[in-house]
Amino acid sequence: MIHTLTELLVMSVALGIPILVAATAEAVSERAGVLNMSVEGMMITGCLASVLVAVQTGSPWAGVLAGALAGVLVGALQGLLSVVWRADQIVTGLAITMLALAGTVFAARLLLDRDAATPGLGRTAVPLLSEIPVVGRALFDLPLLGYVLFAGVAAVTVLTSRRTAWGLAVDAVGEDAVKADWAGLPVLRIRYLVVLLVGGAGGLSGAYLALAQVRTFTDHMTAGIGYLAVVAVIAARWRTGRVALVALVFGAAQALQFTLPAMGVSVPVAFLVALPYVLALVAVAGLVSRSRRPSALTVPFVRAGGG
Amino acid sequence: MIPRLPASLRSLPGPPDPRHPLSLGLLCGAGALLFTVLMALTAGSSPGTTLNALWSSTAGNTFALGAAVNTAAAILLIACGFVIAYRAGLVNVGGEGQFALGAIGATAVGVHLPEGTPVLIALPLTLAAAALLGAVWAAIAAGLLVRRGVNEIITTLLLNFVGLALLMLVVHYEQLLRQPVTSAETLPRSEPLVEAARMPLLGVSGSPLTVAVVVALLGAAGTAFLLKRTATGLRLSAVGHNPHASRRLGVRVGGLRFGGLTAAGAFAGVAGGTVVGSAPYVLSDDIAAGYGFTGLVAGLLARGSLLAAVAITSALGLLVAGGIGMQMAAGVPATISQMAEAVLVLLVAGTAVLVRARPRAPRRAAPVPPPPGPVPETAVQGSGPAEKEALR
Amino acid sequence: MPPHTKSPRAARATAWAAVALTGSVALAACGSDPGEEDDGKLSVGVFLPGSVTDTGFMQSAHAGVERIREERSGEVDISFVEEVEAPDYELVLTRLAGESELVVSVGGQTDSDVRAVAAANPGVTFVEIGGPADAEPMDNLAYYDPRQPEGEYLSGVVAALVSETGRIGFIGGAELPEIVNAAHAFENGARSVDPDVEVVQPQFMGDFNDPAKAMQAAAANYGVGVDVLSQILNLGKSGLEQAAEEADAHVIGGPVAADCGEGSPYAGYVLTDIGTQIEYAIDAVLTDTWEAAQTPFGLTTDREGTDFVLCSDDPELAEALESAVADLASGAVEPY
Repeated sequence: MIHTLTELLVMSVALGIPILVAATAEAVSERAGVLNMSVEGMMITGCLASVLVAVQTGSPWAGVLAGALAGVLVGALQGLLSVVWRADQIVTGLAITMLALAGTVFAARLLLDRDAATPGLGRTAVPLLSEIPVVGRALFDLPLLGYVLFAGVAAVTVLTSRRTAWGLAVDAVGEDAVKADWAGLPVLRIRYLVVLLVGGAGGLSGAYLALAQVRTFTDHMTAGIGYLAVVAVIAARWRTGRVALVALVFGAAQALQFTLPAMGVSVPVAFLVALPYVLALVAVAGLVSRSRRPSALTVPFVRAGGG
Repeated sequence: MIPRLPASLRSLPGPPDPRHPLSLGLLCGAGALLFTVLMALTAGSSPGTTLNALWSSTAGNTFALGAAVNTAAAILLIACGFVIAYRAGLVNVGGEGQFALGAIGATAVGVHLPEGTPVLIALPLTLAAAALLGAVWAAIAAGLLVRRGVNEIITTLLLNFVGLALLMLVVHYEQLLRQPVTSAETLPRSEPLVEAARMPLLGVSGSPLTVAVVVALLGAAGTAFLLKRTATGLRLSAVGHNPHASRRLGVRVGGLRFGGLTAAGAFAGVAGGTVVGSAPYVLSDDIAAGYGFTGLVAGLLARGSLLAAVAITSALGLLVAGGIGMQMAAGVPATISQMAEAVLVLLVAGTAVLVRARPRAPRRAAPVPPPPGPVPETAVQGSGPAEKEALR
Repeated sequence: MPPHTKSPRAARATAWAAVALTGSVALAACGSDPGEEDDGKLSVGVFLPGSVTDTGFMQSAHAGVERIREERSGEVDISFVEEVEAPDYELVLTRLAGESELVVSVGGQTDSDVRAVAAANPGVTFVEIGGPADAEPMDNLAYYDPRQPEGEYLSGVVAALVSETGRIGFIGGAELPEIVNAAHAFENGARSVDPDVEVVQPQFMGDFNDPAKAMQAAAANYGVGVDVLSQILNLGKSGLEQAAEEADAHVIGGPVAADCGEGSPYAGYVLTDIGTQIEYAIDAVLTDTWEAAQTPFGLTTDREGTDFVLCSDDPELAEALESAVADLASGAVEPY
């Protein structure tokens, strides 16, 4: 029983990390009023870029950097469209994802050498801590990048918490951009920057998936976790801290798909496939208090002239 | 009532105004076309070959054109539903799941009807079942929204996956909708729909064009009528713009939201019914591929204009046929047409801000000079579920 | 009037230019129609609903298409379409039928559409690879059966012998009849050499192409003591590899073989060559021996298509494998 629980936790964390990283950044962005449906696109671009560079240079860390940069580039495009040009955030987000998904397949066909082995990131167990029963292996026996990402998530959470100036600025911009502008906050710049942050985070998630987990690039390999990240933000009710918990729950929900059959539980395949989403729905529906979204979420900022 | 021509066209025929939605749309189309030709070049196909392939596989091919219109019809239906919900301030991302449920409903009725049922009864019954199941699926999200304040983007998105899983379940079990398992080789799909429950062909020779296009156009006209000419449409708009004020004025905000989202589900369900009612008339678990997202995109891009919706869905339907043609004749990889679709959408969405809105204020003797700075209308148009209220 | 950044004239001129450009390009395209060429070559259209880089069925078929394109360009004019969504199958098949004399459709999921289009195009020859093995052929439609379960039977034999824990398993992409039968064949093959081997419940992912999920599913299996997994997955395979490396366990690959390198987790590869079936169809049409029948491939026939590549030098293993092949070929055992 303990063994199964441990395995479940290990898997939950493994599956939850990409969601966690992307969702943390997306939470900040949504608090600032920008909804990014292109997180999936940022991730898949990060996947491909990281694998391409890692194979070329032989260094997985170069790949990680490339993945982050690629994600930022996608974020730059998304920011240009939704923040600067005030295009519909949802449409552009979905379209960017579609472009990225198709574009990476196309680019991979042209550029990727599928016979070359991808240099991956090996695991580094933290001595002592990884020996802790049940949670030790899940949290402390990860690739180095995993710890780096944990640190990054913690940093972003702390730096943008409601108690800091940055956090307040982000919230203000998301609540009422016009008044925030009057108060002197550079609304467009803040919004653009948070979108870049999401891009980088998405790219890093993709790099983690491609270099630390499956060690390869395959078409559409993100399989929807980008959308799950957006869902996680809303489920966490835009509280950056709670996002970690939700990401773990989503990871666990996915992990159950595999542990149940392995434990011999015989359930129709369709049930297993639906399981993570049903659990997510229950989790979201079970929240007692009404969710309160940032009032200016998806509203492009226009400085109305003349008062 | 005959619609008035937009101001820019009413005067003497002159050069097109690039800021008019139509010319902007055409420019975006040209841009996407250019992108396609360039990408095809990188794949080794000359522009002449690519364009020829596109032409011969869309406008130059009766079958492909008919298939494209059928596809566009289904997308248009989903888009109409999306627009209704959007008017009420709700974003229905669940088109794919509702489509799947609609297909299930249509199949459940369509395979069990007695053989001799006349078409005039069987077809509406089948489509009604499709609408019902699609509506029920959306109602789950709508109920959660209205009762517990759960954001509809998240619930409809999650319900997509659950709906598709339900589709998988239904075709895998004989007790549900799977065809009788006669051997270890029986594929997981339903029996074919009874003849009378199938979408009748329109009879254009060499074309698979079905009644679906009529259903879709009726749906679009109905939606336009509902939103622009009825009190319900006005109330939906009110709820979308300012739920707080609407509530104070006695408008049943919760009921209208519920109705709007459920209606979106019904439309998507009917779309599913029309697709399962087209060749090969069987339900399989891959039937819903791609419609939901395209319908949503079409709905958002149309920005409330049903005419634009028709244009956009037609373009999207043609893109699929064009992509296939390019693969066959020009050796261009399948991904290029997907990329082209994305680029088209990005161009249209990105340039939407440039669209010059028609003057809405009635003409006065002494025109009031407008305020300096960009027209605030764009902020309202670009936002949608914008001035959203706290109490959601 | 909102201020323009350009003068209205310049903006209009640009618009006209764009329209003119698009128009002239379209006209040029119409003018450059090469027209149909009747040069005596057999025109073949191959329909691959999946992706040619799927490391599975479709890639195997595509390899055949490329072979034919290179080696037989003098007598065959072959083209293919890939990555098509289910609602568009009919359109693609109709287009292929309109331009080819032989249409090959790869994958049982296309069955309903192939039958409909074959009925509407009686003058075109159709072959469906991987369709239901008990379907009724039509006058112009033949079914070719790759008999994937045969390969999995062999896979079971190898898995049971390679396993040190005595526990083996199978992971399939989707719960399709062919895959389910293959899973049964895997178990039968395993029991034929070790009646006490423990075969855990087969897992069906619901998706052939998700490596992250496949990795976790495999990890879950390896976690309960399984040490050899066989699979019918496409892109999901890479996840399986990863999990096997981490658990220091084995995987049986296929239908496309790769290297049996040092330290590779692969114990062997099931080979299912779909390309040979396409070549067979073309030969049959060219030599006028084409039959509208259910045509099996694999070990029980003299048409090739099924093989197993062993990644070990163990002579006992090789012997058991050969013996199993002989049994299957002679019909002494049924895979499922």
